[in-house]
Amino acid sequence: MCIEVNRVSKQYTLWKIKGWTRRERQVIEAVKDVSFRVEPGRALALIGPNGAGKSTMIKLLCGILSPTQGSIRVLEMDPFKDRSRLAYRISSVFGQRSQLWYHLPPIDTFQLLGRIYDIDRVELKKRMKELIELFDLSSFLYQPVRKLSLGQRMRCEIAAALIHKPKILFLDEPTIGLDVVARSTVIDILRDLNRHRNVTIILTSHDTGDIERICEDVIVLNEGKIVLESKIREMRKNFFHSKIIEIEFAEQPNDLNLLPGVRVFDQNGPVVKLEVDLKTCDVNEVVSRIVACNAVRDITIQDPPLESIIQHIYLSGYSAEREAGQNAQIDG
Amino acid sequence: MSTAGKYFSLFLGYLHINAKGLLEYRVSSLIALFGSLLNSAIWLVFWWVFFRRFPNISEWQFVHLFTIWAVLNVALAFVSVFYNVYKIPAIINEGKLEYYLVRPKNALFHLLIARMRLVDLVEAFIWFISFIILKPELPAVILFLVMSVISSAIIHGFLLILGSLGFFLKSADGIGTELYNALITFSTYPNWIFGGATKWIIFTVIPAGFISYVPVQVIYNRVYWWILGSLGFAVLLNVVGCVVFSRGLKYFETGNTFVLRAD
Repeated sequence: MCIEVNRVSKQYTLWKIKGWTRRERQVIEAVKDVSFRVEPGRALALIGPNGAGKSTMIKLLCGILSPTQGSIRVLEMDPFKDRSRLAYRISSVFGQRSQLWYHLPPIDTFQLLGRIYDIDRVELKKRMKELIELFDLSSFLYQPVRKLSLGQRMRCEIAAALIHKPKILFLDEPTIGLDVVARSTVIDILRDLNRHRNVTIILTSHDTGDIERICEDVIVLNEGKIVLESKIREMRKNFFHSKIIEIEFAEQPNDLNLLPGVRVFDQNGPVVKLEVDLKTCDVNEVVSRIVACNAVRDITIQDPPLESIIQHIYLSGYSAEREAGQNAQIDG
Repeated sequence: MSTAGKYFSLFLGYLHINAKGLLEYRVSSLIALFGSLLNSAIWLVFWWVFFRRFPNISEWQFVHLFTIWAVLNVALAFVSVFYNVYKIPAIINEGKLEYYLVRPKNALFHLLIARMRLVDLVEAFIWFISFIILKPELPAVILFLVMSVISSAIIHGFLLILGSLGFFLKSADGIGTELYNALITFSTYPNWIFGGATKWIIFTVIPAGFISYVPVQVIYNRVYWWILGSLGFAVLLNVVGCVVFSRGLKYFETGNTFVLRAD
């Protein structure tokens, strides 16, 4: 097992200042009785609203914080007690914090990391060559980091995190602030690392697009608790009770002849998006009726965005914990 | 490679990267160096004028005052090799400590060597040469270097204790700055004129006496037992600093206390 989290809780003490002298002690439970397991080579997303406990969970897994209750094993080690030893085998990228030296080229940070991780010169040279090729860094390797675009910087961040060949990569909001192209590049790299290089990925992100493209498994946290633990495709299946049909008509449609359970989701000239409630009606029937009445150029049938499912989960307070039991295992 | 060898290699790595950083901003670094030297020169001119008017205060002369300025500046330059010792409260409060905690090296050592203000070493060299010109005797020069190293260790230990309080006190930054400023101010004045409680303070709470009075005693009056005394005090301060840091780290990792305004 790569990661084993068993009934972990983490409490913080909060002192609220009230007035001039009064302070009120309050205990905040950032993580509450959380249990899960991750097999080697998997990609797991930790998602949830702000304050859900995602970042605290990552810090617990890295050994930065110790749990108030429960136990954690990462690569057969206690991350808090064996932090230095574990550091050789894991790595982390925090999207809002850089490990690169701002005024110097990325190559200098790579060489410094070689010393931090005790990598000998020959091995470091070989490793850097691989990473430079993999991340296509050669064109800006000798430029000061301050002159790099955000996307180039993030590629360097991830390359730097991989210099010591970690088995697990923890990523906290790795695509924050990136434009569409840079985001796509970073996601492709992470997916390649996971699928082809067997690096276990634990990711937190607010972007459901990132999660869908990188991860197979998902844990939804809310107020420190697991509210859903599932494979992403199963989550889609269990929580998708609708489909989106995008139709491009030959001309502006006169009468859509909609069945009950079908609503216009969006319309832009001859392009109409319909949301079909699968409990009420059948997609085939909806399509047949529309095609029978109108000239259609193109039709696509999609699932609704993951965003709306997660919103639904948060709002409904769904708890898979109850269904899956305390020690549900995420496995292949 | 042995563990000590690996740590030394890491130190060299940071020395290299900080030197490159210095060269990247050589003009601003030189301006800062010039400004610092000018500031020191203005004070020395003030004291030179003062001692011309009053040549002897409690048997101390301008040459002694010049020596304590030289010792202090060389000591501060050595402390600048561990520049993050000034920044510990900010590193804790801004969450930058996590960078060092997820690395395989000792977090305190790693944190301390990560930032160096190497331009200060140039300033130290100028002060060192000035002292040689002032007192061109080999024993005095050796004692000057020894006392500068010990003084730097005292300043380092003092800052380490104050900085590590940042784990427990959110206002440690402000308190630390005030006490550090007091240390520097007392160290650049002829503090041998003080007696009673003030003398006690400058050898304990604000250990400026070890940085000014003691080096002069050792270099000019050859009171050698003071070397051992100040070395012991330097070791004590640094050991206490390491203990406070490691206790604070435990508190940080297991507690994480936040203070928020409720309204």
